[in-house]
Amino acid sequence: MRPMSPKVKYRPPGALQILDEAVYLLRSGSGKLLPAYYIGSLPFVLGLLYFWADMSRAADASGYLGASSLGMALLFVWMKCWQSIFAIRTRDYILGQTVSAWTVRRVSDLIAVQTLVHASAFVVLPVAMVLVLPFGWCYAFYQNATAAPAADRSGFGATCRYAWRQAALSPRENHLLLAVWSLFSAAVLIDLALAVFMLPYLIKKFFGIETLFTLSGFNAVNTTFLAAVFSLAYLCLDPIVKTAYGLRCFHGESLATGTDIKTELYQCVSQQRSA
Amino acid sequence: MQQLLQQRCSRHQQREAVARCLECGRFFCRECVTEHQGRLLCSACLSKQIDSKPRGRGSAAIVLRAAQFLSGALTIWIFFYLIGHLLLSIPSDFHDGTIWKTGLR
Repeated sequence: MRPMSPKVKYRPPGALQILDEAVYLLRSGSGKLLPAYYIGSLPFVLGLLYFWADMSRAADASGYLGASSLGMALLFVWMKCWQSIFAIRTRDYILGQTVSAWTVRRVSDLIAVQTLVHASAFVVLPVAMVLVLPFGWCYAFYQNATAAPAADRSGFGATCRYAWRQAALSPRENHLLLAVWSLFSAAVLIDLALAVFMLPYLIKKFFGIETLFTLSGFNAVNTTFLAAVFSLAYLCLDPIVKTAYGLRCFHGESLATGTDIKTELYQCVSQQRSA
Repeated sequence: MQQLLQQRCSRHQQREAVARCLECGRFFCRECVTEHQGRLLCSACLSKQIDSKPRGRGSAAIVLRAAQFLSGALTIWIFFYLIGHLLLSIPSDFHDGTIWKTGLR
């Protein structure tokens, strides 16, 4: 038996492979995984659209701006917590088992840490976007922070350390993932915009119903239309990006723990048993 | 791997290192590391982790979590308040898209 050459280096999965795995995971386990995501994200997106339209048009909206924005903040916290639960379920699905049970302590820790971590994103991400260079790391940090409870990291410090450690792993692949993702997102956004824009014309064509939008194309060019298109695109694309970063964390951790090998062995054994 | 082969245990200089602690990053021999929750840790880092757990329990932990949640929620609230304020300050012509029509006339 030849000894393993020290020059042989482990190469983490590439950006395209991660995206491919993410799409496969969501397609194969959509019934188990996606409900957790949409329980959190749908109320927030609907609330955001209502908030947007209300603040844009209602004459007395300034009178209840404080209450409305508090409602939006709570919906945002709700969404972020459920996105973490989605990441936990995705990890459980990959491992083929439920790793740890839900306790009051775990739930309260998840709510507190996710709220605090993602609150900082409102300041950090716009600054990182202006500075351009650190954006890839900062974006990965927040995606990894969502996936941190799935890796049994509790507490603010442990979550931040874990998220940063995983964000710093293979930065080339992270930026490639973001580049591919941006192009794909742009295509989906244009598709959705065209679909939403064309919908009133299709209704007129098939059912003869005249709407405000068919009278003039300009009526569709308003900020609520743009908010609706961006929200729809977010709902379509975000589960894939969350799964992709969850997988990146899984592979990154496996460098130290070998969990990916354990999972493959577990899958081999369960396949042999079922055969 | 090459780096590990050249290292000695941080506690026992006569022994070759076989692993690196994932917390402190120092090299150790087989006797000085142990597996904890799927990760190889040295005894000092392991005891630090175990000691930190009881501190997280009790009323102090509840207060800490409440403070974390409230500070985070307050920041998010301020952000959405500012967004709402911005939306209110934009003229309704812009929201409705009629600003483009008047510009073309």
